[in-house]
Amino acid sequence: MAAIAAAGTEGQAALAAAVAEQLATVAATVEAQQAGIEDGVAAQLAAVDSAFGDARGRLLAAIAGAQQQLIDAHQGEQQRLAGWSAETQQQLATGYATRAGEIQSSGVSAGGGVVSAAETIAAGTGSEVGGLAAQARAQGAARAASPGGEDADGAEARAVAAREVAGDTATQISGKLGNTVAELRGLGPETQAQLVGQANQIAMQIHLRLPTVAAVLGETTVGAGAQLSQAVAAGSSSLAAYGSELSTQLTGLQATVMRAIRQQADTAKESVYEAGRQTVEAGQAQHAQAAQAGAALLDGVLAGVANRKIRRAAAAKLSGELSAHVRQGFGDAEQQARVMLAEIAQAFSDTASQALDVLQDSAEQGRQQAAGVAGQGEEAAAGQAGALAAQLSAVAAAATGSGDRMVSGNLATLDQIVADLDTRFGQVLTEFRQSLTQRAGETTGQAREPVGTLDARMTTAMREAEEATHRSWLEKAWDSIPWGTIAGVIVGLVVTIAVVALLGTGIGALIVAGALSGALSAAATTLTDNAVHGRDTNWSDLGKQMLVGAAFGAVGGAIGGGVAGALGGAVERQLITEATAIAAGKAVNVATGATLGIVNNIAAGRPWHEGLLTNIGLSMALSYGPGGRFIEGVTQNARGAMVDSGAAFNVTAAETAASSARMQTRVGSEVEPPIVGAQEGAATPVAEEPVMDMPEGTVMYGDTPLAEAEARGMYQNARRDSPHNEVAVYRNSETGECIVVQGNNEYVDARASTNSAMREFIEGRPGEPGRWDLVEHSHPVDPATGVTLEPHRYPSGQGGDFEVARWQAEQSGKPVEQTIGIVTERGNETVTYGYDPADPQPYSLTYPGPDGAPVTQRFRSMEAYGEWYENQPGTGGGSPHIDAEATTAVAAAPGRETVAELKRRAFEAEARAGELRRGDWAKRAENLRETFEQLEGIASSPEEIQALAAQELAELAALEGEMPPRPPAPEPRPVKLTQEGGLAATEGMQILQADGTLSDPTHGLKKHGPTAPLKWLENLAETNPSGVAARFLDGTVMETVTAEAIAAAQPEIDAFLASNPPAGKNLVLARYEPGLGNLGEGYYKNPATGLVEPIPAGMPLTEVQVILKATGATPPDRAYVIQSTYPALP
Amino acid sequence: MNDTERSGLRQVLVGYFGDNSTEDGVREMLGVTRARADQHEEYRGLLATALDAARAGDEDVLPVVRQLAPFTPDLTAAAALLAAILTEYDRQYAQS
Repeated sequence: MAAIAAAGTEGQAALAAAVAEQLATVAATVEAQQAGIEDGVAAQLAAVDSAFGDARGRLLAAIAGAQQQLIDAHQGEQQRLAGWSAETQQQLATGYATRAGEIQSSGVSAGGGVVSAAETIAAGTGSEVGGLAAQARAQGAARAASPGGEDADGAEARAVAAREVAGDTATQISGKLGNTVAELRGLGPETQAQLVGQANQIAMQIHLRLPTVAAVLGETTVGAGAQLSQAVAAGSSSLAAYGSELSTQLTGLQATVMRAIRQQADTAKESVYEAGRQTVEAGQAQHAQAAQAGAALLDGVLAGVANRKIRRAAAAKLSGELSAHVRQGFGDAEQQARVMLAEIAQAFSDTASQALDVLQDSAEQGRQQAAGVAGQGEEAAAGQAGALAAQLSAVAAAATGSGDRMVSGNLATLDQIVADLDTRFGQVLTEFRQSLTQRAGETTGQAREPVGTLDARMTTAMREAEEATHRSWLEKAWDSIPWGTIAGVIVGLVVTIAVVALLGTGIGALIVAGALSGALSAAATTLTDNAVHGRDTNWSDLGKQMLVGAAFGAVGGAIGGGVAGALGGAVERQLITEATAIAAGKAVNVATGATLGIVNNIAAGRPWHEGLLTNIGLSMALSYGPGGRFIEGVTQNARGAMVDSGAAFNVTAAETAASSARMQTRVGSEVEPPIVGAQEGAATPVAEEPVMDMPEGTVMYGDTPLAEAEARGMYQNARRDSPHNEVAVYRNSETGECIVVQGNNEYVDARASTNSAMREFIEGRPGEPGRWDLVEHSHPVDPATGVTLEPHRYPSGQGGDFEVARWQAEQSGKPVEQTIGIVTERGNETVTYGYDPADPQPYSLTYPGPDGAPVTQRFRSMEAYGEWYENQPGTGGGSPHIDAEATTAVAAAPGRETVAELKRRAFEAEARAGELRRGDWAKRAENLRETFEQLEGIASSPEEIQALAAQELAELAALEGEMPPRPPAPEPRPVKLTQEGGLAATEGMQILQADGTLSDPTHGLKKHGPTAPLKWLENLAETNPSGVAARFLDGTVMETVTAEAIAAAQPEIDAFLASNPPAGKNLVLARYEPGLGNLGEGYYKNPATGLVEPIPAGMPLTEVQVILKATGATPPDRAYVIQSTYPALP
Repeated sequence: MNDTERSGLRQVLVGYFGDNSTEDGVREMLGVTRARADQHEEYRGLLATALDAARAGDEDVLPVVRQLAPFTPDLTAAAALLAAILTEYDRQYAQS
C-alpha cells in the first residue's frame, strides 16, 4: 500500500509539474503574443502616419502648384492686356491722326476748288461786263457827236446830257462790275477760309476727343487688370482655404484611423490576455480534476488492496501492478493536460495573428483614404486652377473685345464723318459754282439792262436838258432841292424821338435809336430820290443800304450816348460847364448826322457829298435855336407820355417822380397821396399808379421755358408795377429755366410748403429735376421817398439773403453770387452779395458807394457782417439778421395774422394731420387753406380778415386744438459712415460673380441718392415689379441711417458671411426704422388708377432697406459691398 | 409656407427685384445660380413653392410679396407677380 501511495504521490507531483510547466508556457505565449501585437501596431501606425504625411505633402504641392498656375496665368493675361492696350492705344492714336489729316486735306482740297471756281467765274464776268461798259461809253460818244437841238445851248446841253447818262451808265456798270468781280473773286478765299476752318475745326474736335476715348480705353485696361488681380487674389485665397480644409480633414482622418488601430490592438491584446487567463484557469481546473481523479484512483486501489488478505509476494506484485496503474493514470492525466494546454497555446498564436491581420487591414484602409483625399485635393486644385485661369482669360478677352469694339466703332464713326464731310464739301463746291454762276449771270444781266435802255434814257435826258435851258431860275432851284436828304433827316429824327420816348436816353436806347433811324433814314432818302427822279427801286440794294445805315447809325448812337455820358460826368466833376456840355453834345449830333448822310450816299452809289450841306443845315436847325428847343420839347413830351402810360422802359427815379407829379396835377385832390416824390426834396403829393399789384406769391413763367434775360425783363416790369413790394428771379439748377416770383413788402416766399402758387407750379411739373436757385431780387422803395431805405440797401444776414446764398453754395458745391435791385437817389442800382466756401472770408458784398462807384467787402462770418452793418451810416445801428423767434412770436399773435401766416398755419395743420394719418383732419385743414388762399388780394388787414373769415379762423384754432402737438424733434444725429469713405467708396463697384460675370454696379447713391433724377425714379416705379421707387431727401441722413441699419443687422451679416456665400449673392437686411419720419420722396404706381404718381405726404417713407452683395472674399478683406439702400414705405 | 421659406423668399424678391426690373433682377440672380446648382435649386424652389402656395390660397405668401411690392392687393396679384418672375427666370436660365 505504501508503494501504491508513493506512486500516487509521485503521480500527483508529476501532474502538478506538468500543469505548472504548461501554464508557464501559456503565460509566456500570452506575453509574447501581446508583444507581437504591440510591435505590429507600432509598425502599422508608423505606416499610417507616413501615408498621411505623404498625402499632406501631395496636397500642399497641389495647392501651391495650382496657385502658381494661377499666378502664371495672371501674369500672362496682364501681359497680354498690357500689350493689347499699348497696341490699341497706338491704333487709336494713328486712326484719329489719319482721319483728322484726311479731314484737313479734304478742307484744303475743297478750299482750292472754290478759289479756282471763283477766279474763273470772276474773270469771265469781268470780261463780259467790261465790254458792256465800253459799249455804253461808245454809244454816249456817238450821241454826243451828233446831239441835235434847236439851238447851240440846246445842242450843248443835249451833248452833255448824252455823255453824262452814258458815262453814268458806264460808271454804274463798271462800278457794279468792279464790285461784283471783286466780290466774286473774294468769295473764293472767303469760302476757302470757311471750308478750311471748318475742316480744321472738325479735325481739332476729333483731336480733342481722342484723350477721352483713350482714357476710356485706359480705364477698360485698368479695370480689367484690377478684375484680374481681384480674381487671382480671390482664387488663390479660395485655393488656400480649400487646401487648409483638406489638410484639416486629413489630420482628422489620420487621428481617427490611428485611434481605431490603437483600439483594435488594445482589444486584441486584451483578448489574448483574457484567453490566457481562461487557459490558466482551465489548466488549473484540469489539473485539479486530474489530481482528483488520480487521488480517487489511488483511493480505489488502496481500498481494494486493504480489503484483500494476500500474501506478501502477491502483495508486492500487486503493489507493483497497482503502482504502475496509478502511475499510468497520473501519466495519462499529465499527458492530457499537456495536450490541452498545447492546443490552447496554439489557439493564442492564431488569435494574435488574426488580430494583426485586422490591424494591417485597418492601416491599409487608412493609407488608402489618405491617398484618396490627397488625390481628390490634387484633382480639385487642378480643376479650380484651370477654371480660374479660364475665367482670367475670359475677363481679359471680354475687356479686349469691348475695347476693340469701342476702337473700331470710334474709327468707323470717324470714317463716316470723313465720308460725310467729303460729300458735304463736294456739295458745297457744286452749290458754290452754281451760286457764283447765277450771280455772275445776274450781274451780267443787270449790266446789260442799262445798256439796253441807254438809248431811251439818253433821249429823255437830252430832251430834258434842252428843255431846262428854257426854264426859270425858280424851277431850276426847285429841281435842285435834295428831297431825299431832307426826307432822310426828318425820318431819322422822328424815329429817334420815338425810340427815346420808349426807351429813354441811356446809351443802349441811343444805339437802338441810331440803328433804327440810320436804317429808315437810308430807306427814306433812296425811296424819295427814286420817286422824285422817276427811278425804279432795287430792293436788294435798298436792303443793303438800310443795313449799312443801321450799322453806322448804331455806331453814331453809341458815340452820341458815350459823349453824352462823358459830358455829364465832366459836368459833375466841374471840368466843364453845363452850357459847354450841351453845345458839345449838339455839335456831336450834327457831325454824326452828317456822317450818316455821307454813308447813306456811298451805300446808295450816290456822290458822297450829295445833299451834305442841306443835311448839315437841317441838323443845325433842328439842334440849335427854336428848332432845337422844339425838337427837345417834342422828345421830352413824348417820353413823358410814355412814362405816364406805363409803356416806357428804363424809367429812372426822377422820371417816375416827374410822372407822378404830372398824374397828380391831372387828378387834383381826388386821390389820397400815398407816395411822396423824391425829387428836389419836396414832399409833393402824387397819385399812385393805376396798376393793380400782382398777388403775393404769384409765380410768373412762360409757356416755353424763360431764359434769364426774359425773366429779368418780366422782373423789371414787376418792380415797376409794384415798386413797394419785393420780386425775385429764380433759376432752375438743372434746366436753366427761370421764373419770377412776386413777394410782399418784406420778403419773397418761393417755398412750396408755404406758397400755394409755388406748390401748384411744382406739382404741375412732376419729375422735373433741379432746385430753384435765387438769382436776383429787389428791395422795395419807400412810398414816402421813392427810393430804397438805407437799411434795406444791403442784404439781410442770418435767416435772410446771405443764408440763402450760403445754402445754395453748399448745395451746388460752387461759389454763389446773387444781386439785389435797389433804387437810390441816382436811380436803379445793384448790390451783389455771395458766398464762396473756399474763401477764408466766404461772405462777399459789393454795393454802390456814396459816389455810386462799387465798393467790395468780405466777411469771415455773419457776426462780422452784423458788426459792419451796424456801423454803416443810415442803418441806425440795427441788425441785418432776421430774428426767427421774434417772427414766430409776431406770427403767433392771435387775431393779427396776415393771410400768408394763416395759410402757413393751415398748411402746418394739414401736414400734421398727414403725419397722424387722419384724413378727416387733413381734409378740414386743406379746405381752410384753400379758403385763406382766396383771401389773397381781397383782405390785407387783420380787420378785413376777421370780417371775411371769422368762422374759418375759429375752425382753424379748433382743429389745431384737437390735434396732439408734434413731439419735440429728435436731437440731430451725428453723421455716421457706412464704411471707410462712406457709400461713395464702393459706389459703382462690380463683383466678379460665381459664374465669372460681373455683377450690376452698386448703385445706392446713383439710384436713391438725393440727386437721383426724379424722372428716372418715375420710370423705375413704372417698370419694376415693386411699383415704388424713391430717393433720400438728404445725403447725410442717407449715409447715417444706412450705417445704422447695417450695424443693427450685424448678427445677420455675420451669419451670412459664415455661410461662405458665393460671390454675387445678395443679402437683404432687416428693415430699419430710424425714427426720423419721412426720409425720402419718389413715385408709386397707384393701385386705384394704375398710374404712376408722386408718393403723397400721407405715405411717409420712414424705413430704410439695405441690400448687401457678397464678394467671395473673407474678412479682413472686403467680404461684401453695399449693393443698394433706399427709403421704403413701412 | 414655413418661416424659413418665407424668409428665403424675401431674400430673393427684395434682394434682386427691390430696385430692378424683372429682367434685370433675374439677370443678377443668374450671376449666382448659373454657377451654383444648389443656389439655383434653392432660389427657383422658393419661387415655385411660393407660387404654388399663393395659388392654393396660402395667405402667408402675401406679406412677403408686399415686402417687395407694398401695393399688391391680393393673392391673385401676388401669384401673378411670382409667376412673372419665375417665367422670366426659367427663360433666362434656359438660355444661359
